[in-house]
Amino acid sequence: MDAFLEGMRLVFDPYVLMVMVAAATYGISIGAIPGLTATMAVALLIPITFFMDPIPALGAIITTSAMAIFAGDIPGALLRIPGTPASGAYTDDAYNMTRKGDAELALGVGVVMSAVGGLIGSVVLVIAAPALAEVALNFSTYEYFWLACMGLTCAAVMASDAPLKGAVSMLLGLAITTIGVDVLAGQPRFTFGVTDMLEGIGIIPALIGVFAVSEILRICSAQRSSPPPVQIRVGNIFKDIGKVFRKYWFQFMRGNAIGIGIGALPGAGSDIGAWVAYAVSKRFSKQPEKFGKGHIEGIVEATAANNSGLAAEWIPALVFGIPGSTITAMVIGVLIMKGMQPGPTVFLNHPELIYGTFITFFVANILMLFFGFLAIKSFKHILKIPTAVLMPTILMFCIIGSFAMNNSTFGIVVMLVLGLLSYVMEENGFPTAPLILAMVLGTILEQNFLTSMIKSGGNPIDFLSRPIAGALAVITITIWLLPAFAWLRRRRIRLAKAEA
Amino acid sequence: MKINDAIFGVFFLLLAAALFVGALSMPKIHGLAYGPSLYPMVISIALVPVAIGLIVSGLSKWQSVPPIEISDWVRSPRQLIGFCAVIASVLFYILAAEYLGFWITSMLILTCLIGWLWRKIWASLGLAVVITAVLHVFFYTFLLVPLPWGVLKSISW
Repeated sequence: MDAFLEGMRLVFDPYVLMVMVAAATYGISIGAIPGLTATMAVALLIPITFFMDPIPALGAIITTSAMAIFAGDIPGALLRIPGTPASGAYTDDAYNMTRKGDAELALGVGVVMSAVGGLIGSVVLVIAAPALAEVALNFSTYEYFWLACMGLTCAAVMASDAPLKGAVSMLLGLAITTIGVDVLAGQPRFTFGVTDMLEGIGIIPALIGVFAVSEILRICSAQRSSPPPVQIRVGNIFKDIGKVFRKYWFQFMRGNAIGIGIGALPGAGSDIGAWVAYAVSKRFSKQPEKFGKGHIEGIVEATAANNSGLAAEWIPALVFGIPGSTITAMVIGVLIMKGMQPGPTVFLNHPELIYGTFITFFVANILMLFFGFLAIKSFKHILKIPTAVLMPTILMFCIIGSFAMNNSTFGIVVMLVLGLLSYVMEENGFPTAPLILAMVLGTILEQNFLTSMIKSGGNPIDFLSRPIAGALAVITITIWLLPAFAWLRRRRIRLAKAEA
Repeated sequence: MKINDAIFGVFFLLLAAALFVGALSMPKIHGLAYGPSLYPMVISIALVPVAIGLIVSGLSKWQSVPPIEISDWVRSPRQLIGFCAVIASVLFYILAAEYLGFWITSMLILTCLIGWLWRKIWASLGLAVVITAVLHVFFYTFLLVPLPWGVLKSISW
């Protein structure tokens, strides 16, 4: 109890609260700028946190990431350029809702479900952290391999109208991850002697290219000279939230469960949770044909998964020192710099810091409601700027954002190439989401695949022999076979009709 | 630009072949039963059936979907230049930023792009200066991104 009170005292210190408010403004700004991600926001914040004590530093990181993850929904809904990879899962739905004049609902659901999802994730973080992390810690490379396969399969098969093109997009993404030094032997692959390619293709410039540059190209080459018909006035964003919650409360809770479950797995991260939650929502929806065309159901589930997963990512990071995502990997780096090795001993030696971190999550998610509302209200002014001014400005943001990750122009080259590739793919009906997810998961997949192959001596039975691995394999293979079943069913119906 | 799926299928088949051949040429690592070539090989093999699927799908629609269909906007010089200007701007930044510096490169890009799309030359010049200044303060001063100074090195801060 003393530790809890001490944690409260640390968090509710005026200096810490001021840092959190500043971090909220910063996170919202970065997340709302198309192409700039929550990961980038935290990465750029890290040098500043070195000058802070642990609690303000952790508070700044937690607040920034939570705000940036939510703020990614705003440009996604209003410009069809998601601010963060997690928002990419339901950008088409949010943007199409905006085009129909329902921007308030799309953004209101985004902010409220994110905040409540984040609070639920925080509760789970506080109550079940050790137990959940223990389950995840028992996972071997076989389970991680199948989990990565399942995430990719969901993106390619379930989250796309054209499973074949989704599979091509996913395999292209995996092929891109083979560029650079390989994960086990350190052997350069497909680098063609270019030093910058040794590190592989950076995910941040790739994301900016796929989601932002392709959109800029599309708008600049569009027949119309005026902006797309998006709704300029964003009214009361909290108006119909209650109605949506009553209708989709089960999807909301399921989204939280998926976000927390996947976020708590080391290496998985909340981004995958959002994609999987969206895919699950579509799969079990009574109206799957409406997904991607401006339907709120998938947004409810995926946006809840986003922020609940963000808190859950911290479970393995805090309890066992294993990062749940790139953001928590950076957090571990910050804590080590401050002389604290995350792990069970932190609970014994510095319980006030653990409680302080938990309390920070609650404060950050409550702040989100207020700052989210302000951000949405302010962001609409960007839409009043002519496209002719907005697009070149966003292009400059994209260029700087791609440059900033490694301070290298190679990032800008990657951004341009991936932007053009994404443009051609989308023009021809290839979904780009599986490409991006494959690029995020490619290294995890390869590492666990090769390690499992070495452990098993190439025996495929070992990939299925552990109960959880076997269950994940069955689920994944079933999803692979779904399009074939659907095709057979359609064929049978067609034949039956022809005979009749 | 719409391209028939069969052409995409052939492209991905060639990509699979290139990946496979590239993986075969990778050196074996002593003591490692499964080296760096295995993963690209698996991907290349997985690409084959989906590429064939695309070829079959494309050929079945060959009569209705031409091999390559040029979009309407390509025939409009204004739209075509707008599209090419975006690509040219990024290429220009990559090639010139180190020498000209962020300020000059950004102002040139923004003036040309905004000027072309908005058709208001003087307003675009003024906006280019303001936007460049805001971007520089935000990224260089606050976020410590080392944006290049180029020829303006002598007046850098």
